[in-house]
Amino acid sequence: MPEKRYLFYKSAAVAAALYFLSGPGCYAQELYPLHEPASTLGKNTLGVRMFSETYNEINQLRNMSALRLMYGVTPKLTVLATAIGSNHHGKKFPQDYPFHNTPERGAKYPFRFNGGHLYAKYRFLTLDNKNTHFRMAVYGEGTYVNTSHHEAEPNLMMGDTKGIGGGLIATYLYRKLAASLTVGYIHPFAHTGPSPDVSAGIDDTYVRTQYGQSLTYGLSVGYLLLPKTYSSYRQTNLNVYLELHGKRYEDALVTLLLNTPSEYVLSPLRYPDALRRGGYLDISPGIQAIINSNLRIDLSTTFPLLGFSWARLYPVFTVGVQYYFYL
Amino acid sequence: MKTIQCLFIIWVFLAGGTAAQAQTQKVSVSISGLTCSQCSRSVEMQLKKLAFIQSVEMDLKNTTAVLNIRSNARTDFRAIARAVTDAGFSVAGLEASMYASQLKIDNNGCMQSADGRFYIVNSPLTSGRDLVTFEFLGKPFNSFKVKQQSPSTPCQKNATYFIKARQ
Repeated sequence: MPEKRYLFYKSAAVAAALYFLSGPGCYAQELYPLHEPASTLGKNTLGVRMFSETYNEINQLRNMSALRLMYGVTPKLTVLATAIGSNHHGKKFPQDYPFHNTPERGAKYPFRFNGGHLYAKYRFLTLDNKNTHFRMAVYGEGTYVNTSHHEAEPNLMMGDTKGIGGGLIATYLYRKLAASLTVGYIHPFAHTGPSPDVSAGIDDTYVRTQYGQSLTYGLSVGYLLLPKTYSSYRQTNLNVYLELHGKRYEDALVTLLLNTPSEYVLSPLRYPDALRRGGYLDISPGIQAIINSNLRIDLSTTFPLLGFSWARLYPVFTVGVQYYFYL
Repeated sequence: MKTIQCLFIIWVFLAGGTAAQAQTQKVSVSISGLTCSQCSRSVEMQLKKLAFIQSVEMDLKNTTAVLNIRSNARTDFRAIARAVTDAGFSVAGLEASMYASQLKIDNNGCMQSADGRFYIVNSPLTSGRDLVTFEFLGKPFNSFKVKQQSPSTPCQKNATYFIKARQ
């Protein structure tokens, strides 16, 4: 019986794929809600994007919001500058970190400015044909934030950790299918901050956490649902997306009682799971409306597919609004 | 070569001319790599920055831009191609409707006009019509290899547009 059900799902998936690939008069979409495609902005085009991640954590909403400016320096070089704020991070590490309260769930943090993220993408390969293209780009990124993060997994885009990174993007588009593969590397920098002592009246001790080096990967697929045929810029475009994304990261390295005679590096064997090496793959279905061929509104939801991230609780809801100015 | 020159002189004579008009009336650019209306709009906005273009009509379905040229304006065809690549896409082809009466032949067999220098690779004789559609050849307009198609001529310099009359 389970085999029959499996065959049914498999047949349905193949039929859906054939339907998406066969229709004439429509084009695939690569304006992914969560990933950058290999394509770049037009020269002197300024994009403004606001996006936000939200999830429920013990009866409170964690929110990470960002304002991003995007600019096409040349037709092949796009730079992005993002300011990030959240109620996800405190200034201090949790009490008795990392032995207890790690990761700290349910703590109340005020929403505050975390820092900034810079990203540059260079498109080095362009193979264009009518309604199809294959493009490749390299990217580099860097984040500066001053936040305590309680997990080994680094995150530059939403400002969990400071650090630098880079990677490769390949985007292939054929008729209705737009697929993009992103592979990257994150070299996070350490964060040093106070951790309150469990004993009352004793000063905070300082802790240094070096987050894990990380490989990142993502596969995004997009499909134009409406309009069936383009006739005007005023037609609202409706796109659906499916994005897979994940990381593999190394153990964190925690140094306790920093700058005291008792300073020591805690053995990873004593870390909670959140600070140990790990990996996961998430899946994010999304939907997007593009109004007047400019105003773009994205909604997507992230679920765990293989393993899970310690840095978020599922489901994670992401919303984005974007607009271009042609200078 | 001489045959083409002779035919061209006859063609200009038959076509007559109007002195105060731009040489180019309309340009049609076929764009490759375009996949969405937002991308198409990006190309349109880059093209609209060019002062000699009066209006842009984008054909979203066929990913083609039709450019109407201002009267008395000089058309920079390379700037048109650059605008498309500046938007992040590629030119698959470019055709222009030009007034034959505005083209003047020089000693090298090149055609001179306010829009630049042209070398016509085929016979442009078209029953005396003044407005003729030309296909632009070579980079950055398409991948057609000009040097293999035309004889050696002083026109084969960077500033020359290689064009082919649509019969």
